[in-house]
Amino acid sequence: MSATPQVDAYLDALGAALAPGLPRGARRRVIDEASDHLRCRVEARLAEGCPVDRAEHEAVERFGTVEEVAATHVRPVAARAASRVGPAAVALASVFVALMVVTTQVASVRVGAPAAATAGGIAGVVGWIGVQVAFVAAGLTVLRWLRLRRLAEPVAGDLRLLVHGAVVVVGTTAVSLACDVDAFRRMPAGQGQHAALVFGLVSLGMVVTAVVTVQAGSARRRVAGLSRLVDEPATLGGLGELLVAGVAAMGPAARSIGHGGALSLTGRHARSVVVRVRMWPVRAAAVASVVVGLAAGLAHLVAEGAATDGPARTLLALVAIGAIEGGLVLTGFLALGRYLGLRPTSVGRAPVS
Amino acid sequence: MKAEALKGHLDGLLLAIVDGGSTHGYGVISALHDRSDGAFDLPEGTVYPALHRLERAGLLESSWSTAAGRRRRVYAITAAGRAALHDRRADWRSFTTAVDAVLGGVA
Repeated sequence: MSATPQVDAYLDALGAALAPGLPRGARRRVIDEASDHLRCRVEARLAEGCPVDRAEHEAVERFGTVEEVAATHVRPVAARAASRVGPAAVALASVFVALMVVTTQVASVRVGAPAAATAGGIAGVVGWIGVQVAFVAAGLTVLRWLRLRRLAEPVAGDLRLLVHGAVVVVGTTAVSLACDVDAFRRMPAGQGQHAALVFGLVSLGMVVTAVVTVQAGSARRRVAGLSRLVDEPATLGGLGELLVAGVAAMGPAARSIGHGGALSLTGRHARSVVVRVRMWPVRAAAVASVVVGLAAGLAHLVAEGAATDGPARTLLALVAIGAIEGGLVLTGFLALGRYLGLRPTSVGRAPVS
Repeated sequence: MKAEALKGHLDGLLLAIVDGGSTHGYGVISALHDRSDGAFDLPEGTVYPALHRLERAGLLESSWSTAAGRRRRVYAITAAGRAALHDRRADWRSFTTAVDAVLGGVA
């Protein structure tokens, strides 16, 4: 068979288009089959007396554009790969959370040396915040996975959120592990258990809040009859995207806070009357558990601090800790909101009509 | 007829063609074109993922051969594929009977 420059150029372009989405073996098979097909078509047209350049042109044209052919090959492979990403992300997140819980329990048992610092100082505050974020991210990641595994071809944007969730859980858990071990070790004997109880209450409340928020968002989209529209290659994203998304989320998130407090930051999905009626008791219970948990923690700190440092110093420390924690929690959730899918974005979400 | 009209039917059509004898992708697609008298006008390259999907589902099997100095993937139907084709044919006959009954007016 004579030279077929158009076919060769087409195959090169197809190989390049397939490279990001298909492993080498699968790509080789697609290219070999395409090559055989195109050359068969060219040979058939040549046998009918067609000039070679025209035969090539027709063969390539009938085969389809590089973009559409590549897309039909890559899409199902991406979907199958994505179905493995979900369980892997959940397993990774679960291991880290379990590791965190075990480590903090061990640390709380080993305490015994008296220390003057309130709740372990800055390390305690950072560890406290980090572990709350980790629990919320873990809850969201598990929920998203449970929801997405029912889909034959999950949307790439949603899958990316799964990976984001796992990344956040791993990162915040790693930070919390380092901080909490140090903080618990500094506590007087017995305080570790109290702190762990309060910490558990608050975390549980935040997880429930996250669960309800995700369910509310899902229900609202069902009520609105929205369909999934996004169809883009799944990517892992990265820290740079997290920062950009966080900055981009600041504006609307700030407006949400102005309308109804920090928790409405995650509740913007639940504006549908139907969803609100169904969800508000659970949301109220979740918020109450967070408030009660924080109040219990505050009372605990006041009691312990007053006994060792005096009321004025304790009050000052609490104000400082509260300001730092409040600021960090707020900033963290503003930044993580879009990254974890707490807020709708153009990725993985249909526009609200 | 565009690809959209084939949605849900392409797998059955491909199984029916391969059921007629083992053949490579070009043969399958050419037969699809010829036997439909050119009615199924879809980009030929987009048929291969359907063949691959049927193979993963165990309805087709394939192996490499060499022809004219080129690697060629040849497809054959499996026992499960024949059973699936039998079911699809039965479903299609029921469907067309029902549609004809509703549409009526067929001379």
